[in-house]
Amino acid sequence: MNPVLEKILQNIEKVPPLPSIVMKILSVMRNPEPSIKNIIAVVQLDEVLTFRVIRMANSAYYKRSGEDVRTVGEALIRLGNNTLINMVIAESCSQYYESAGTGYDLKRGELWRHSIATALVSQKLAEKTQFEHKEALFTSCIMHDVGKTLLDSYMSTKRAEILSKLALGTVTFTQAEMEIMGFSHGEIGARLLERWGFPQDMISAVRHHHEPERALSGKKLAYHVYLSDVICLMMGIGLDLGGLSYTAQKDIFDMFNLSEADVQMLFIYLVEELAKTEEMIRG
Amino acid sequence: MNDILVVNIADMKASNSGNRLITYALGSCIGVAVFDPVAGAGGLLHYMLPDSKLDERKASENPFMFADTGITSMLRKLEKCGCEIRRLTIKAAGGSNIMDPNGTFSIGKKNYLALKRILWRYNLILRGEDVGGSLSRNMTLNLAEMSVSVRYSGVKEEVWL
Repeated sequence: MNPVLEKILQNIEKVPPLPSIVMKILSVMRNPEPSIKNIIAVVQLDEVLTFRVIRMANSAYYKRSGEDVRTVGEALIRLGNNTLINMVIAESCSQYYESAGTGYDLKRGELWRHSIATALVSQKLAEKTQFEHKEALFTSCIMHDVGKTLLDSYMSTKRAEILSKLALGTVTFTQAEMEIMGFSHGEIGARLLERWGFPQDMISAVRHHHEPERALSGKKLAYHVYLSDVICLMMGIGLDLGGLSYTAQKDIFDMFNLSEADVQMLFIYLVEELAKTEEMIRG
Repeated sequence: MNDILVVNIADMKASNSGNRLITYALGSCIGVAVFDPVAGAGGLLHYMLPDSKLDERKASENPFMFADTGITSMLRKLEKCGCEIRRLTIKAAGGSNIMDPNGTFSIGKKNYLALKRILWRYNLILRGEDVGGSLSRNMTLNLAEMSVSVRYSGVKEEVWL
């Protein structure tokens, strides 16, 4: 095996385990009649998560002139199922992104901001396309670049080579990764999700988020992650040394029955929603 | 050392006190740097979409989202800072695109065309530009030196426009 890949796969073994609430949410929400009560019960067992959820519900945007929320149940009423669940997922996953990104010429925190932004815009896109598995989509978006966190320090040694490939203007970032490293950041992220026991469609969406046509299971999920990611990159949110060096999927508008104006409206939605969410996370 | 003002996405900042204005990670968005050397003032705009007709309500809340309302609002602001439109030097950067011969995601290109159209309406031309391609750019307007530069992600060197 490629010795670098071997080393990185060894590092995957050292990644802290995924908080169990994430899998719990995903399995509850795949149920045709999901019980939010089950999720609330698990959140309440975790002091830190409970504190954060209540703090979010009391942030300026959600609080307005209302009373202070004191329990997870009250927070649920104020935030709504979808927002509460998504914020629990985000809070549980943020630890993996804490110090990553500098190898890709991103400021600290920018890779996490990109993950959140991708996940946020995916929810609006899913409304438009009537995609059902919104929590799976949100989580896949949060995780789509987790491979970059494992490649961060290696990438800083390969930067010049990658950039000289990209300067040609004809090579995609994925092709450059394959030629220089022998694997992509999507592949590394997918390996981590495999280890954590994620469902196959989400593993596939993370593995192929830049080439969704190659996703064998859950192609629709992969296309949603792809488009949400591309929108963030075009807007410059988490735009790194790879820039926009990715291929367009020209059938995507027909597939989702979207116009370019719809995509532009997602830009506007995201710039506002991201500001709101950052304020909420800060509390 | 003068202050650095950071211009966010869908944002504009103007100054007449020799500051450096900088905007990060231009993808398909466009950065427009404008200065009047006589007035010693200038501004940097970072807009994300070509045409305010998409959502006129949003454009009235934040004109800097769009090329047309963004440039008009910036020019008005600069006139209040003592700039004269005919003396302005204008330079632009950004407008990158996903790699696509079919123009599926051509917002970067449309952003650039919108800029040219609006400047033409004001009888202004671009004195410098670094537009297109697929890479990420930072853009700086140094009002102490009246200079504009671009730096590509992952690269140390500045490119002077």
